[in-house]
Amino acid sequence: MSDAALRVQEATLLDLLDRVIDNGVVLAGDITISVADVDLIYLGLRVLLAPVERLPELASRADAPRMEVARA
Amino acid sequence: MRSEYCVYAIVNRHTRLPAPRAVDSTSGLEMVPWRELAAVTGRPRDHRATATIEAVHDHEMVVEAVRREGPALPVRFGTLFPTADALGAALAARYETLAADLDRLGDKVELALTALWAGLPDGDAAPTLAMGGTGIGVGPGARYLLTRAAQFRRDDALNARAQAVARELERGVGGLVIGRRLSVLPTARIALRATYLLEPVSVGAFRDAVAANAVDGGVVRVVMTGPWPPYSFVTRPEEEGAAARDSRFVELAQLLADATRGRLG
Repeated sequence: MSDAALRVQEATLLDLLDRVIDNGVVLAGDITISVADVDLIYLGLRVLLAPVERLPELASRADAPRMEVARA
Repeated sequence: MRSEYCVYAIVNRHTRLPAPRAVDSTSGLEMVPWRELAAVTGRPRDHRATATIEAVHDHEMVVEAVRREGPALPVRFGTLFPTADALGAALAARYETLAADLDRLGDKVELALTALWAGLPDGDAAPTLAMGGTGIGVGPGARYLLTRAAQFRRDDALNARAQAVARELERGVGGLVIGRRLSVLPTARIALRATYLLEPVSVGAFRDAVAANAVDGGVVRVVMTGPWPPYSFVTRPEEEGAAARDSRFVELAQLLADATRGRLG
C-alpha cells in the first residue's frame, strides 16, 4: 500500500473516531463506554474521560467539572 | 450486563429499518418511538459499548445503513439505556430539538477537510543578539525578550498564512456549503481543520472545487474524508441550554417591558 493511501486511511480512522466518539446526538447527558475492560464515562458531556472507579474521588475535588454521573 | 438498548440514530417513526444483513454486528435493530420520532436501537452481541476500532466502525456502519432508508440523525457511540422507557424519556426530554435537527440535517452529509502545511513553516531568523549598531552588549533579559519577540512574529506570520488558506478554500467552496465548523491553525502542523455540511449531491462538486483550488498548489496538502453523517452539526445539549437561557432572558425582558409600560401608562 502506498504511503499516501496509508495516510488517507489514518486520516479516515481519526476522523471516524473524532465523529463517532466525540460528536453526534447526545441523549440523557452522559455515556458509558469501556476500553480494555475499564469502564469510562463522559462527564459533563465532553469534559473528560475517567475511570468510573475514580468518580467519587474526582467528584470530591473542589475544581471538579460538573458531575452528573447518572448513566443513560 | 448494564444495559439493553444501544442507540444508533434518531429517525422519523415511519422510517423502515435496514435489512438484518446490513447490521451484522447486532442481533437486529428495533425502534423505540416517541411521538413522531423513533430511536433506532440494537443489542450489540457483546452487550457492551466497548471502544474498540471494530465497535466504532460497526456503529458507523449501522448509522449509515439506517440513513440509506431515510433521513436520520447520528447518535454518539456508547449511548446505552437499560429499558425502552428510559430511552423514551430521553427522547421526550429533547424532542423539540431532535425533531428540528432531523428536519434540518436528516438528509445532509458532512465532509472533513484537513489542510496540512506542505513543508515545515519557515523559521524566523535567529534573534539578533546585539542592539543595532550600538555596540552595547545584550544581557540575558534582553536575549529572552528578543527570543520571545521572534516567536511572536513567527506565530503571527503562521496564523496569517493559515487565515489566508482558510479564506482561499472558502472562496472556492463557499457556494456549495450549508454550514461549516472551522478551526484555523489548531496545531503548528495543521493550517486548517474544517467540517462542511453539504447536500449529498454537492459532494462531487465540493471535491472538484477543492482539487482545483490554487491553495492546493504547494502551500498546503489537503486531505478530505467523508461523506459522513452530520455528527458535527447536531445541536449539543449545552447549545440547547444557551438557547433556552436566551429565550428565558427575552421572556423576562418582555415582562419587564410590559410592566414598565403598564406603570407608565
